[in-house]
Amino acid sequence: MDADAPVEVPVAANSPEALRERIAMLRDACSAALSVEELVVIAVAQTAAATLAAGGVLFLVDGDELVTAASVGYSAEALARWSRFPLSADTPAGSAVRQRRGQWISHPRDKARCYPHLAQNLTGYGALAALPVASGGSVLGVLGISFRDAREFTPVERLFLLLLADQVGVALERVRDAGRADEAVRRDTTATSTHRRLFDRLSGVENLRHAAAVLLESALALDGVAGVVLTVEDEQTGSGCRVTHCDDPRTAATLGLLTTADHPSAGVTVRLLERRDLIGIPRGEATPPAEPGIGGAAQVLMRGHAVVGSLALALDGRADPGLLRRELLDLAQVGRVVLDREAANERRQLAAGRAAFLTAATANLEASLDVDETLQRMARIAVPALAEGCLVYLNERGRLRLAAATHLDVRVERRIRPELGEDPAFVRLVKSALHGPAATDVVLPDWLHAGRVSTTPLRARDKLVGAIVLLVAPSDGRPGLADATLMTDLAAHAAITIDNALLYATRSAEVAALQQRLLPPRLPILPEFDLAAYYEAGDRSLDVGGDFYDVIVPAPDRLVVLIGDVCGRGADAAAITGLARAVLRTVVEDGASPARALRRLNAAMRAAGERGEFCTAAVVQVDGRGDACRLRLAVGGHPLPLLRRGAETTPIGRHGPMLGLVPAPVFRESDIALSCDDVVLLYTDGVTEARRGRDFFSPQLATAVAGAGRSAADTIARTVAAVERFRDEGNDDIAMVALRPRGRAVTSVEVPELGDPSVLPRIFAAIGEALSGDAGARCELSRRVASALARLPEPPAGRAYVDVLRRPGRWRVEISRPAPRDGRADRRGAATPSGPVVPGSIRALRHGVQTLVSEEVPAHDA
Amino acid sequence: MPESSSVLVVEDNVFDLEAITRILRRSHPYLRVHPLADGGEGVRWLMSAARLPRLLLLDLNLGGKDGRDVLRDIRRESALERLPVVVLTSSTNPRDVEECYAAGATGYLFKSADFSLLQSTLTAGIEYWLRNAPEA
Repeated sequence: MDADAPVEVPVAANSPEALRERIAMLRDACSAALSVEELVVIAVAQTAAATLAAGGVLFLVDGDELVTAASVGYSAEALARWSRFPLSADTPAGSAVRQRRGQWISHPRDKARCYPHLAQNLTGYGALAALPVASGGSVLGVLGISFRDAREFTPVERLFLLLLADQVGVALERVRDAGRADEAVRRDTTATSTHRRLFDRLSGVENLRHAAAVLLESALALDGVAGVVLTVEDEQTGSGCRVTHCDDPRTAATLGLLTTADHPSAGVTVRLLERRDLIGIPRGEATPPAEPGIGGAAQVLMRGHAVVGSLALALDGRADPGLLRRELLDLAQVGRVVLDREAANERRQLAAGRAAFLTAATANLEASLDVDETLQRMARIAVPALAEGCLVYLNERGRLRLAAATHLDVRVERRIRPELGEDPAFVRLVKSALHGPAATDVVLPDWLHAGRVSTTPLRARDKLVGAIVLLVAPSDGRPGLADATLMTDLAAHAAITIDNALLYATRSAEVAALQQRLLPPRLPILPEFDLAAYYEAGDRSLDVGGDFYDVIVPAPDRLVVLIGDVCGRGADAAAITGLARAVLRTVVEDGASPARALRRLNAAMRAAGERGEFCTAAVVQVDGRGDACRLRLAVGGHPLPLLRRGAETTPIGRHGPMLGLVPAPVFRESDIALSCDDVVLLYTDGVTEARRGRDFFSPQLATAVAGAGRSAADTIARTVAAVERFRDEGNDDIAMVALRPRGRAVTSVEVPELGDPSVLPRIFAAIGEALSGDAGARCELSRRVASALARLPEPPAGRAYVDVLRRPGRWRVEISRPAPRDGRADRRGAATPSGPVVPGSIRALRHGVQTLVSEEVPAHDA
Repeated sequence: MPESSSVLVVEDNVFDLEAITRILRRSHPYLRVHPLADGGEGVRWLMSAARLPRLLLLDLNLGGKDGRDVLRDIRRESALERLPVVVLTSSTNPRDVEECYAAGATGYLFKSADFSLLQSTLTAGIEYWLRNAPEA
């Protein structure tokens, strides 16, 4: 290995974090310097430490010479030799200034080759780097770093060293600026008081635009200034403003161009221009650059941490250039700080405002499952925080529907839905923005007062659910809350909310449809039997529960009524009711007796239930016509049905085991003769176990039934009312079915409208036909029926049934109509009339017939 | 901005009024802000003003006379029919909005409890109305 060959020696530590830390340490140390003298000492020491160099030196440019400002690690002889030397000298430092590039000498022989006249190596060091120290485009000096041994400088090291030199340049410029400002203040008492007044005024500004206005006024107040243009821009937010005070449009235009120059990397620069310099500014026209009397201009460029500012002044030539330059520097230094402060304030407020907006919008989005109302609330918050108007479209099978629209101005808001919402051109604009570049040929109507339209797609679960459209005013340079990040966040929240709500609506509709299948069916209309039923699901979020009933007519002279209760609650129990009802109906229609039907259900429950579902049930079979029947029933774990005969109400049947529990249950049937006007009531334990405190309704059931009117519907109604009055909470399903034989049907007539004048003759005809052999009874019965109809408060609308019946020794006419099937109460209160049915919206179902007229007379035919 | 432009702010909550006034002074330093805590005095104040304000900012939930009633009183006066009245409220309920519009509100601003959001809302709202409201 060549002993003289350069070696690679890492600079400090090679990790990027360590290098960054070194630069930060140098920057922090230099920023503490209060004078150039302090700074150069700090810079050299820090650089040497950061690079593990043997020596460091800082040369400053002084005219056309370089002067040693500070050094460490060099001999007195070397320092004396190089204390001051021409920039033009062929030295590494001179080359660095002239070329504005770092000079890297890795080995003494490289130095001898490049700089042969520097024959004597006074330092004794093996390698050196000469780095230009620059700021604002100007080279201020050279930072020299010497290493004991020959070495290669890797690209990372070169970058590191150049960054170090840059930091020194920034610090040097800052200290010099501060020094010049202080010097100007010390030298000129007038300037000091002006400075103070400017500070005072700028301390009281309210925002960036206000600060710009104050700066403008201050600039205008300087001697020799005839016009001013000031532009300020926050490079991060893109907001800014331009303020102008200039009477002549040509001059104003020229000044405006001056403000568009590139800004320094840091600090302030002031440039004084003569009139001839203005001519060179490209304005695209041949007119003079300024009005007569304008002798020149000044260009002041300021760069702060947050903003860049440009001040262009038209000068009438009266001001002393040196004094003007100093005054402008003062103004710019103060202005830069104040503009930075106001811009930082605005950024903080914007960030806080955006966070607060998202919080408020999210809260409103999560408040309801009504999509349109939720979006309308969100759009209300968005205006005018994000824009002057906000529209939200929903994608419904490829078609955009306007779901929400708000605007600052009610006159505009009122017009948006009818005139803009479905407007093909506007919808095309929105669609085009969602799928690619927005269409540019759509002209927005004047009444919108909108400068432009901004569209943000709403995407959830990989599908487009809609779009948010903002109507944005022409920009006035003020920063707005609506940046890309906020709109993305808002759109994400809104999209998922919409998708969840739509999913909920879909599921609700599916549940409602399923429930419709599980709801108890309509009862058959049978002339000889008065049937009524009541059903109420205990879970208010659903329409069905675990109770079920059914009425089956397997043969002309046979009627089967069944009732049951699946153990459990809610949707799980409701699902089993479908199975239970279907099994019972099937076996009953096949001719199974009540006991056999229960045994079949038991087997089905045991076969289908993986989780051990159980149920209770009672099956009542009525054979015969309405005047003389026999009743057979079997009960499986269910409350015994009640029989009301005259004034007495008693339970009937024999208890049996629950269904689904044991493999071979035994159900003992009961056989009872049933007479006309007997009422059989089947019910579930939701009736008997209705509670008030620690008391149950069970002991009062028989009394309630006994006190009811004759009809099945009235029996049900009185019992339900008694339960409602009794209980203090109701969260169990309730089901009841009542059956009353009415007599043997002789004639039955269905009339479409009871109030129609033609109905009475038809009734008389039916009576006449049925009682053809009993004239006395016929007349009396006809009279009574007519009288009863006349006493009705008003003829009920709709279909009615007129049945002429025969019971032992008596003729009877009963007129009835189908009871309203359900008592639908919309618990949501604010639902739209055309909205979908929501599970839980059905309060109770009532089936069967409602007896309107029941009149009977003794029969005179033997 | 002409120095004669002013805004009447009807707000009975002293903290909200201070916040609103501070916001308006920051965003529109040349705008004169007239505060009024009693909504019941609104019509009298307006009818006796030498020059109508460019805009009336009206808090909806006033302690004494309700903001909606104040609005209706204002709209009954033919001299005030063109005065833009912008309601300020924390409610986003569409029914409340409709009620305000029906009572004669010209605009509706959401009043946030957060100062920064309130500032953004008021600044943009005032800017719109100063640009688009008719001169008194």
